[in-house]
Amino acid sequence: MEAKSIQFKRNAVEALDDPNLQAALKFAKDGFIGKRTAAVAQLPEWNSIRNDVRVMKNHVLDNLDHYLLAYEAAVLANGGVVHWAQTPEEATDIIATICTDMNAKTVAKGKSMVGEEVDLNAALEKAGVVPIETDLGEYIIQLADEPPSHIIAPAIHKTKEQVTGLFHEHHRQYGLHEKITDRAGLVAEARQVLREKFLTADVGITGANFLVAETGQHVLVTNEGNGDLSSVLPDTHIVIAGIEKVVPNLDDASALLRLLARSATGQHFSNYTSFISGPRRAGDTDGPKRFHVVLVDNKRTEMLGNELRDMLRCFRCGACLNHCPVYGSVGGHAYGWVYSGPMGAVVSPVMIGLENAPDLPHACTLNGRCSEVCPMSIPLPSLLRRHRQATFERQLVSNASRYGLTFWAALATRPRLYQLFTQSVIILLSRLGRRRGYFKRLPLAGGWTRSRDLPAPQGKSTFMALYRQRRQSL
Amino acid sequence: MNARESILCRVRAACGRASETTPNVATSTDLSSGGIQNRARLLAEFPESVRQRLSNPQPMTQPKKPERSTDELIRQMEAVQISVVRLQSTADVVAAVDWYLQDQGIEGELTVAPSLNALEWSAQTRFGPASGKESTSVTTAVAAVAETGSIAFASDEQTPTTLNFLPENHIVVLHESQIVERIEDVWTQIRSMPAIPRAVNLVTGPSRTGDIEQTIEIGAHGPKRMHVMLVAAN
Repeated sequence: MEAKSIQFKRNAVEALDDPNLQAALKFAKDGFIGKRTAAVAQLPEWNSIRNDVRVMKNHVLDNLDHYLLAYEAAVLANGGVVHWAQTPEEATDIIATICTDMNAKTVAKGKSMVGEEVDLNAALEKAGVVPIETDLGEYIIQLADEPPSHIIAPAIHKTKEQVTGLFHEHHRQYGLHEKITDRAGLVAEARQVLREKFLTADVGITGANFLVAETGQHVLVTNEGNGDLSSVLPDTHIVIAGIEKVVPNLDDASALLRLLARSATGQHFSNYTSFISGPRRAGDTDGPKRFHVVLVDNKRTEMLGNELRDMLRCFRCGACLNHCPVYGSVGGHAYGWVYSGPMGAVVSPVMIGLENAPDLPHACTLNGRCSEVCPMSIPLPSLLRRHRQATFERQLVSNASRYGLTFWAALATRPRLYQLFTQSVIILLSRLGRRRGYFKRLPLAGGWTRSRDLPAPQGKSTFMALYRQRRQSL
Repeated sequence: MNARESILCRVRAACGRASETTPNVATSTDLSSGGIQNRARLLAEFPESVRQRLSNPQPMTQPKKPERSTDELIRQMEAVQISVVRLQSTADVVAAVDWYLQDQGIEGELTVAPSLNALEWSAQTRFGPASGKESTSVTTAVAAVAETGSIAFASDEQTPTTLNFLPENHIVVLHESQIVERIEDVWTQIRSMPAIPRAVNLVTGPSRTGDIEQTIEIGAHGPKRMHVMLVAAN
């Protein structure tokens, strides 16, 4: 998809004004946070596992070439084929070629964020192959022709009423004429339509949550079972995965899974956690006849070599999105590309270029909740700060912010002047706001007051003034 | 330089090992024909820490073992909407399946995993992979995990994978002796098999989705009901 991250500010304003989106986001916030907290509380070993996994993953990153080669060797021994892709174009070319070589007409797709990253659906359509998203959330946004707005809940921005409308509009071809208004009915309708697609698809394409170097298996985690149906029914199964997904052995994968399910959905374990390797074996009566893996770099080796290496531990659970106040207010689409929230603000500028996403690292209050909940202990705020520094160095920030920062720096490095200035502003604001207690509009602060009120200062003193008073009275 | 070599070069450069080269054992023709020996030759080129980790899992923190695995398994299964009935022997399975189907008002065809074909099923019972037309499957598993309530299925001729996903109702015949404490215990079993099965599915309840307004609905693409027949150990 075309990146629209450059218009982050405009996107954010639109998002704040969209009543449907605000209603949908409210639903999401309450659910995810509470469920995760409860699930983590039930595992006393949480922090210890988290620590072990960080050490393990760092070891993998230090030896990434070896583990990729070991994984490749194991896949080949299982009868599969491994492809390597440096860029999104290379990845989509490889997959489109496999599909056209098979004369494939339709592809059943499991949810894959790398697939979104390389814009796989567009490439397949261009090659004359029809991709059908089978994860319910992905299917909904495919009907709406929109990108995902959350890495594990792609249609989180849609209300039930909007889904009703989408099915009513797009399922007429399958004989649906009435409007389905209940959730169970909508799920049943999707099940019926997609079942036929699973059974007739020529190729199945899925992502992978992990690649196991010990066995050549990839791990596929879903709650719906769509990934498994995509991988077992069509004659050809293609897996697309980032190179950072490799882990040494099955026990390492198990430790990661304990963190993943709890962080993502607050489950102890996801419904379907499958370890799949290669095509059907001699004697098997089901399973694909051909198996391919496409390993994608797309700037991951660049991150491996710079200060963003920690980001390669990310296993896309979405906990940082769920706990981010900025994401919670504007939703995923405002970020303008495939990834959103704190992890997106780190990854997108690398993948689409900082010059195309200069505002993303600034869409953060540095409150630190994301790194607190991150199961992989990724210091997201520090990584965002590095991007911020780079935007400043590369002059990608607006003049207003540049001068603003220069002015603030001049003030902040002169304590007396700073205190004098803040004291007088406080006195002025508390006088002006005495009657109402808040401001609906303020000069130079339109960005703030547009979507919320600014409370008037509650006293007439600054912290320093109070501090001095106390010291004198001692 | 091809894509594979470029990526590996960049990885080594990023790890401060730019002078190293790709072991030339790892060519595809080499490995698909030679399999295991070539893998061993490849591993011999890796540093000790990597070799270690690939062949012997390193101790990682694991959750505490449950005191009574069977009780814990049933508790975890019921928490994820798997219903459980306990049987005295496998001889009771066929009658218990009939009773369950009647009790739940389930009609339609039945497909049974070939691993169960020694039982006395009715004459028209179908064995093999799922066709997509049956309403119900009856299968066996390789293990059940008390930690999570998951049932582990390994694919082969006797237990085709499609039976775990296509039918609306999935009945699993499980032996008490198959209960293990933690996920890692399943891997001990898988590693002891002569070859890695094409698919190992850890299934933890009927299919569900939260994709509409973050509210869980059961029966997305996979089974809507999951029922375990736990056969006593004796």
